Amino acid sequence: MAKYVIKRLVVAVFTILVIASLTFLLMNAVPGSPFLTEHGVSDETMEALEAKYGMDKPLPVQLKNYLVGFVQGDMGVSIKLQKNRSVSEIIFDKFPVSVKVGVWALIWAVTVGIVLGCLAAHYRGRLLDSILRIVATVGVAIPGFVVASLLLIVFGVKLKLLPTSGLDGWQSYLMPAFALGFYPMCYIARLTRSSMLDVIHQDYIRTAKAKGLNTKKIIFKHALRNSLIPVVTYLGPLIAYLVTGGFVVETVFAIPGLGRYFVQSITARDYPIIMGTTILLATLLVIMMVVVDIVYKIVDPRIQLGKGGD
Amino acid sequence: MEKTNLIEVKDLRVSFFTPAGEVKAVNGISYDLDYGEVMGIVGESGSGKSVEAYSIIGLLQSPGRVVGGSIVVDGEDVLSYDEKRMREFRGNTVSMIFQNPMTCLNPVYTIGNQLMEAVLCHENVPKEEARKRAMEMLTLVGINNVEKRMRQYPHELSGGMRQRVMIAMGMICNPKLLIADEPTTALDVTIQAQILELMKDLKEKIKMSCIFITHNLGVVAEICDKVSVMYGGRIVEQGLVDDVFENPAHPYTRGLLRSMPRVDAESYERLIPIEGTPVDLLNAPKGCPFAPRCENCMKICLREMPEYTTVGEKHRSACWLNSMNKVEGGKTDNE
Amino acid sequence: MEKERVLTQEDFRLATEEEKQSVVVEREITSFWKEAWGRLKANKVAMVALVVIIIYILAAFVGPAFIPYSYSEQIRGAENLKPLTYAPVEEIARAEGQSVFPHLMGTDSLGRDLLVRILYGTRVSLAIGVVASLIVLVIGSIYGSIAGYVGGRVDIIMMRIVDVIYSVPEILVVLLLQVVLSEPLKTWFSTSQSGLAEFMSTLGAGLISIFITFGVLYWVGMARIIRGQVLMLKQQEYVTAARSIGAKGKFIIKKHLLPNCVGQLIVTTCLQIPSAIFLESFLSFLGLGVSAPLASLGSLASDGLKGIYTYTYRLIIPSVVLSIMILALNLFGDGLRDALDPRLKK
Repeated sequence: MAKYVIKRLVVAVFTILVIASLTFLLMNAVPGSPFLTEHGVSDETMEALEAKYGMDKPLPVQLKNYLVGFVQGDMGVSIKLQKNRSVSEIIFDKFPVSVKVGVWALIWAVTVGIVLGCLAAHYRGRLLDSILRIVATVGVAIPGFVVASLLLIVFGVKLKLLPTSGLDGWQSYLMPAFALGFYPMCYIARLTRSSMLDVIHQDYIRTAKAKGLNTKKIIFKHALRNSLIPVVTYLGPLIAYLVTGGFVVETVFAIPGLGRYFVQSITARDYPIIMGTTILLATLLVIMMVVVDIVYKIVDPRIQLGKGGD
Repeated sequence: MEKTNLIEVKDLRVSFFTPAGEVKAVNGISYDLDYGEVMGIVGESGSGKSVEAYSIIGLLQSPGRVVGGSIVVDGEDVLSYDEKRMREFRGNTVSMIFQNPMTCLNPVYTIGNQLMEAVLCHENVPKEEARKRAMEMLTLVGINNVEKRMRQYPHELSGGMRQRVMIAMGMICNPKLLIADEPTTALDVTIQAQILELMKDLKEKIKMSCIFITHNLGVVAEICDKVSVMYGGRIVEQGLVDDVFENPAHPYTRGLLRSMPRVDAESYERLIPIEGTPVDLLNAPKGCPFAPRCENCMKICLREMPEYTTVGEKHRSACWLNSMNKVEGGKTDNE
Repeated sequence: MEKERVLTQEDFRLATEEEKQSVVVEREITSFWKEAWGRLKANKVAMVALVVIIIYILAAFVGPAFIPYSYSEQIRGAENLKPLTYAPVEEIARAEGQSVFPHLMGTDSLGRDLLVRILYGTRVSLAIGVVASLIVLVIGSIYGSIAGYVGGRVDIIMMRIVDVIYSVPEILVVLLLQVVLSEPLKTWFSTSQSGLAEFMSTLGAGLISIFITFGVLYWVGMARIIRGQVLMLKQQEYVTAARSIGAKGKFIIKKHLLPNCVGQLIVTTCLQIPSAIFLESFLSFLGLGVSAPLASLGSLASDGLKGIYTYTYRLIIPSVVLSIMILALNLFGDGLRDALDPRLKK
């Protein structure tokens, strides 16, 4: 197991470096200098600026410098949004905010999604199942920004129950976390339901019944763990969704997180920030993929390399 | 009611209510089985043999439902059991092992866990006791290195080994009746022989009653005392193994016997297959279900369902051929 | 319970073969497509979804013809009109007896008729969904069928590439591409006189990078499915038969393999449409999708967010229109899958 984890981590580090290089090269492929503005900049200023940011050197050297800096946590400075403030400082400032919302969304999406999925499967064909299925089907058809906006209108603007912007106090987390987690919650509920129904018809469930186990034991011990395997595989895409979904939710609720800042930096073409954030988010996703793979191996002993399980 | 029988099934009817209509999977079958007896149920796929077994243990899958008849096990009417009583009954009084050992064990739990669970849910014993029992059972079914096996996952064992585990699991609570639903069909031929040998062995050692569902007549001859031959949801012939094999009274049984290769056969004897396809139970004919494939098919066979006639001691069959002596004037011209 | 009854010799005469066969009921055998269509027709949810989709298509492509405003037309003095109200200039015209087409959904902050913008937005969203799915279909099925058909080392390499692409977070790529492409595209739009450049400049860098991303990244799912199908079908006798009479690889793929995965192709493509619309609306909502004055449902909702306190309906209408569209497409796709592959139905 430990060997496997180390192997995966080495590959992950390599992947991250490749992503960082590609991002850097892609950004450098943009014609024209990032310092060009509508006002026009004199040639001397331009040269001075390029020298200052190390852009006068050949591309491979620039790439090497960037990667070395990146490993040491130096991703350059902002050139537009917060001029000359270091990118890593900005990221350390904004990222925790996004993580907080994301983690709450993750928790509620996974727990509620699984519970609802199990309930729907258990009461298959009855009223509860029908209601949950309709909610989940409609839920995966509604884009995140629609959920966020509707919540904002109902609870923020009309009822004035919850704060409409910022993040102070637990009440301000409710709407963003709900909006962010709603789509994955519905998706997980659907996934759990169908995989639960699939598992219930497996032979080993029949064996468990033939043994005389009670329903609780059959569902929670024998069916649930097997039906969670597809849910675990969804965790990777789920985290990717939470990262990008965060862009929208932070925009709607005016949360000073990294997602909103990223969108602003794209609009403003603040290249160092775009690069830094892209690499950071890609890193996050790559690491989460490794974590998901490990969780997957714990849940399903069939693909286990070492020893473990229960 | 004779108290001596372990299980008495009377006129059992099971139907599947599919969107296309009612499928009469089991259409009025009766048999009984004494303590310590082994009965084979033979028939081709779709003849209702598994469905019948599932209804004893209350595991019929929706949309299947028992629509008539009775099943009495050990003097109690099983069909009247509620969910809770049924759970106590399953695994404890009657247990079942299934066809495909590859899919019948839960892949995410260890062998030991799944064996002990069966003990723990029926008996109030400490975990250590259950563990001891599980290991004894594994030894009994011929598994070595028991300590290690207990900690292994199903995918780490071979098919034959898994079927041994299934058998151990079926017998761990000392049930009065074990239903084995084609326990050897999914295995390699050599492994099949080993498992059969094991079951024969256990039959001698434990004296447990057993219903052995199979489509392999060889298996029946090997380990069963009685045999019921099923076709199209009905038992077409039943009796002691020797009687049925020596004097088959139903054309279907004769066909089955003729289509089975025999080691002791003369070299010029040929295998004769049964022509035609199995009956479609959704549109079951009103006459004998086997009639369209029967070489002795008569006009009445297509019109009316034959009743059971006794052809020997404990040996009865449902075929019009056996009723021929009741015809006015005795003999018919095709005899 | 043996009943005594009279049986005659006639009863025991051997039955003829015809008599025997007359009681065997053969189930009717229907063609695959007929059966699939029958199943689809029986699926009420899918049929309702189909009707909704048809209504959307009609509204989006025919609807604007009945409204005398264009999506970019700014009516002076008609800014921020509530639904069914008129601008002062229009009131005067009405007083003079001219007929003025009502603003059923009001106008936006620039005095553009909201209804026509929503219809156009729906058209843009639908078109993007279909075009993106076609890109995925073409690239994915070609790639997948080649990998599956050729097999061996080629297959391993091609599928490893797919694995790599699969792990790339696509939205980040869309955003990066957009940043990279917007400058060169702008230069091209302003210098080139060709119709293509003009058309592309209406779409804007956002949409073009969406299409490119679909072309570069999104086809991998389709490629995997098709490869799996081809691998399975390759084993079938009719492919061996075609080979044995000397048919060429391309011919076999076209003639035998693709038609047999056609069900999977249709379903995957259909389900790709809503996911493309999803992505587009997401980007447009962030202001990174379609560029003004072109509208999509996402950008309309984004505009609506700005006036959320006074003009709530401007946010709600495009949101609801979009959600219903995606829902209908999803449900129809699901119905189609169930109809074409009943084995998958749970």
